[in-house]
Amino acid sequence: MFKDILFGTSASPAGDYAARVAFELAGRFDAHLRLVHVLGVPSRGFSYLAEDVRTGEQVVIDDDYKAWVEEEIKTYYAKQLEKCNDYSIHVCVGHPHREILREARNSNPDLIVLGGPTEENEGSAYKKIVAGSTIQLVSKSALCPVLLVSRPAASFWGGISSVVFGADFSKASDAAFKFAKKVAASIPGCELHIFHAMDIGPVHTGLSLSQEEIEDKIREARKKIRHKYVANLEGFEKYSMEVWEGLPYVEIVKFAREKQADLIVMAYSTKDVDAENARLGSNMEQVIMRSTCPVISVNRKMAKN
Amino acid sequence: MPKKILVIDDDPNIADYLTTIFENNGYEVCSANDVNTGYEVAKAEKPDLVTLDLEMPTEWGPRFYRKLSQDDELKNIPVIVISALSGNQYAIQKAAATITKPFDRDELMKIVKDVLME
Amino acid sequence: MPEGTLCNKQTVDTKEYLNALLADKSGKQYYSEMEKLDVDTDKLWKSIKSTLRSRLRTWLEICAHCGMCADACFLYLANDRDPTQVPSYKIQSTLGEIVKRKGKVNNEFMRMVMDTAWSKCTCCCRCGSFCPFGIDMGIMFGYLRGLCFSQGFVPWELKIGSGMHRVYKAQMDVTVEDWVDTCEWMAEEYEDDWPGLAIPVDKENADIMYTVNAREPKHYPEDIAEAAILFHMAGENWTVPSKGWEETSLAMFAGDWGACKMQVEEVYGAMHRLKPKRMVVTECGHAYRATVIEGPYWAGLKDGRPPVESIHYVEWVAEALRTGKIKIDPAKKIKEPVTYQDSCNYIRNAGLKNVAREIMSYIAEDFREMTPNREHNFCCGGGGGFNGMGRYREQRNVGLKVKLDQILDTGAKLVISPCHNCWDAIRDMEEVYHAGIRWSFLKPLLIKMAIPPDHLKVEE
Repeated sequence: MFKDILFGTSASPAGDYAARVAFELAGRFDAHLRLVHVLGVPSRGFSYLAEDVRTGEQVVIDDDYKAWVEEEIKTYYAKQLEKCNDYSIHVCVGHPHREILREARNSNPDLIVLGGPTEENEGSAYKKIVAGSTIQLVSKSALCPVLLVSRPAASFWGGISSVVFGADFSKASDAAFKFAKKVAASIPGCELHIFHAMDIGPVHTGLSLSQEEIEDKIREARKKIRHKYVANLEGFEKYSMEVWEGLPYVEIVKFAREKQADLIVMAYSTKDVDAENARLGSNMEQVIMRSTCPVISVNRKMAKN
Repeated sequence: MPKKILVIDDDPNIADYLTTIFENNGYEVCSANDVNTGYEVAKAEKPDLVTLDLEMPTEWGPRFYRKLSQDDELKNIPVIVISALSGNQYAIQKAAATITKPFDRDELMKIVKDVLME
Repeated sequence: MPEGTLCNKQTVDTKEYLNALLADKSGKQYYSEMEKLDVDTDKLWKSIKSTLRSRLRTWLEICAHCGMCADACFLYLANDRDPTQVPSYKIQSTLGEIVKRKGKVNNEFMRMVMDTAWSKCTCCCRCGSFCPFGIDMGIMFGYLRGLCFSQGFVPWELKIGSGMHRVYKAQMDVTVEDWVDTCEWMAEEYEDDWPGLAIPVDKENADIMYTVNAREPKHYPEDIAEAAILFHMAGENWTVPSKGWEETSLAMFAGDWGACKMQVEEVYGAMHRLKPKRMVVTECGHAYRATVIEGPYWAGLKDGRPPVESIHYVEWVAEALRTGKIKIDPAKKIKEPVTYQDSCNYIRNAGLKNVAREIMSYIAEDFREMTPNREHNFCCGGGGGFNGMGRYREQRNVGLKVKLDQILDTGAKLVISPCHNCWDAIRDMEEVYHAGIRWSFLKPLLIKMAIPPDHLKVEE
């Protein structure tokens, strides 16, 4: 299923849970693990200084410094690397999302693993505006699925055997379904749960739907799921479908927890990455921050492949 | 009749150590070194308590818990997570307790007794 | 005559030399070699005799020391009105002295001159508009930087910067292959959102040839994609050259006139090759000055104009909005208070002040002018290379305060800054002073506000 996994590492505790999943998956699928560390964001005009993302110091980046950082990464992940047969380390300078995408463009991995929203969204306005949210920007533009781990709770599954596919009926969602199905089909005994959360919006707006209207819409959604997805599940035994109403990110997190799912697959559907609002984040970011398992984001670009 | 504890851990040293402690405290102990065997043993032995490691070869601890909780006969057996991984208290939300390796034996026994409501 | 291996009077024309300079962390060895670097006084005087033309000579002589230039200088204001920051003093005590002594100056003096030329003047030329005689110290410091460079007294980063132009024909190590590949990449990355989006390379006879700042392909290629999206939306027939795409000139900041000529001829070469109707330069101030205003003279073009009509990005934006090539959704105009950073290099020194206001009238509901503004606006605090030199970081940070106060006084938290240097300075300002301001180029804002033509609408 996965032969080449790119892990965007911060080599710091912020990325520990994503690292756990990345190393585990690489071992499980016998994949090459590509540790990509973007060590600094260039600053100060055309100067050769960059801010080291780990230490926050202004450093002059040259080959010596890169080599030193590579050693630091090896030390930081010493325990995991001991058990990892096939890996490479890539240290680069730039804006994290851009350099991860650049490396992905060069190496064409079949999965990118990133830590979820972390402290990179905190701090100076600069980071919010310019860097935006690495996960949003990578998820939007990557040509392969992006697996995101934020909470420690999402890092203990060790493998995949119960996949929740969060359907939203977009074009990207079709691609996400194909991917979720492919994953589930490739793993013996793996369950696939198709789930749709019907957004009833914030209740306090006074625009709340009657329960009849809600249930009509749920019926409609179930019909859509049957036509769009279930019809494509021939020969597939372990699947289920559910539609719940509520706040989408809350419902999908609850559903996955209930199913003790070890993976959520969903579409990256936001066309406009609004960096200014990146802090609050999209529906998907909320799911990543709350979910008890890793979340894989699939964007519209993958609908073509 | 003594209460029965199932120890699931891939590290034989830990499994032996836990077994000894529990036996010395008057419990009956059975053990397994992976998730699948653990589930078989649980089905056969119907333990009163399971101690569960997280990171193990092939399948990790939370998968055992999933199987257990989907089995009507076993779903109410309390599980104590014993692991060295950071953040381990978040691994199994409905676990009765989480203990981080290395642990203090008295502390362990206190938690076990508490979970067994003794 | 002691010449260092890194710090010397040579220009940087090889990758080996460039890499050796880069390997010297923060220019430690470079600056220690500089302390022993001999001044070739004969060469210096000869060069002054042949290049110090009557205008500059007259300026040096007629300065009445009236002090009108003092308050014009943001560095004077930012440094508590330190008399040594008065522009006339700064130029008289450096260039004036060298001329007076007929070039007979020593190493220590030249180091003082270097520090003055690069840390006490950003060549913003504001003083020139307040001098009763029209003496422009910015122009004179530009000239002085050239003298310093020819003697090897130039800040480390700018020695590297001018070397980059010589070796890569760009201010950073972006090769032609890197550049073309980045264009392809950006078109691929955004074509889903914008059907038919392309970045045509080396298309002949296009209406527009677009040129950029090397930092865009190197670190934020989104900027190139955004330019492409806006051209695409406007239905422009445009292209980028594979060679001659870099319009900036750190060589100009360095005073390396030879490299300036090389760089600008690369761009003019692309104009001759591709024969576009016009050239549009990205949101960069000094690049416009280098390529459009000064460049023709470096290249020896007698009429003082680039080979094809060349306009700044803001001129293109104003035109596109005026003619309706790009339509702004009235509901998406900027509602919050917003101000505009007038870049010295294309506002004061190239007269584009009204174009900037025209743009703001189309996109902002609450536009707040800084005081002073337009041709009287202050330098962002990072111009002329000030942003990028480690040796003068503290002085630069002090200098930022004037612009920061100007911004805060408007009450706006958003600053539109269609100039790379200003953009960097304002970003650093936030990093140093935590004032809670945000800043942006025009492109991302325009894309958010524009109404895409029907054929570019994509279903989700």
